[in-house]
Amino acid sequence: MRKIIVQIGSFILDPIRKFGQLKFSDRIVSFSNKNPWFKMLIAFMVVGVLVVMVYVL
Amino acid sequence: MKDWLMILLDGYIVWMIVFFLLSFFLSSKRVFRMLLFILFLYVVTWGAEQLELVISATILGYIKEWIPLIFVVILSPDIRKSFESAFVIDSKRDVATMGSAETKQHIVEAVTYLSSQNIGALITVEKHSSLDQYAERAIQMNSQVSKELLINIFTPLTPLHDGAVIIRGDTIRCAGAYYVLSETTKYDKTMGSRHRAALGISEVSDSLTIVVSEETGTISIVIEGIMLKANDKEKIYEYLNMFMK
Repeated sequence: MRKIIVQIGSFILDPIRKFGQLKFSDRIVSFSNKNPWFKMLIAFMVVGVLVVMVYVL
Repeated sequence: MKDWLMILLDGYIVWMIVFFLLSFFLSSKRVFRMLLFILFLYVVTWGAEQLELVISATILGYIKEWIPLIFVVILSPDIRKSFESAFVIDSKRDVATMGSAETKQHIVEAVTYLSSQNIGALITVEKHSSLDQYAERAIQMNSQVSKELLINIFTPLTPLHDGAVIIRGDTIRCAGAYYVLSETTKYDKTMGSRHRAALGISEVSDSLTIVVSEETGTISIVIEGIMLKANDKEKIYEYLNMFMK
């Protein structure tokens, strides 16, 4: 019985665990730390989109 | 004309706010993971509300209300640090200062001597990414790189031997620096904390780190999350030459 409960639990948690193992958040942070232009570019893109949305559209 | 100036000013202020927020959220893996978790929670809550899932939407709704408070409590040290360093100009900026041939020679000789004596050492050579945040918490030195000084720093039972030396150009920026240990599973689990620290700093910066093992005296070069064994002088010099161009 306990084994079945554990198996069902693992089955439910498996997709989340696999997603966590991709560590794509770690990769983004590492990339951003190594490339100082990354944050600036994203900030420019966000501002560009906001300015267009507010003042142009 | 006045309208354009106003738009420009508006954009400038928004850019600063966005850049500050990005710097905060991308400052460490922990903070970024927390942000992703919160975003995930908001998406699930929104989904539950759209699909009219009564129980989960109600529970997640309560959790959502408490999220800002939980966020501030958990990340308060990081928030404080971000405000403290928000307008501090990095002493290094984007220009990389590379060491002279003499500096490389001193590093190679020091490392091979330490290896022959089985003395542990951790030397990081900075490139574009600034390591000021680690140097600030270590013992400031700002002295010329020399073989004798490096050997003296890592001599056991001296106050500076436990920690890393950060080299910028031809100067030893600091000694006794501590890095966040890598959590990688790529290498042997029995790997010591000195090697883990070297991997940790290589994962978050573009620096090169030389590690001398205390147990075996082996020399490793760590760069971009990769560790390479380099036990002869020529090989270390070659790596340093490639890196410190």
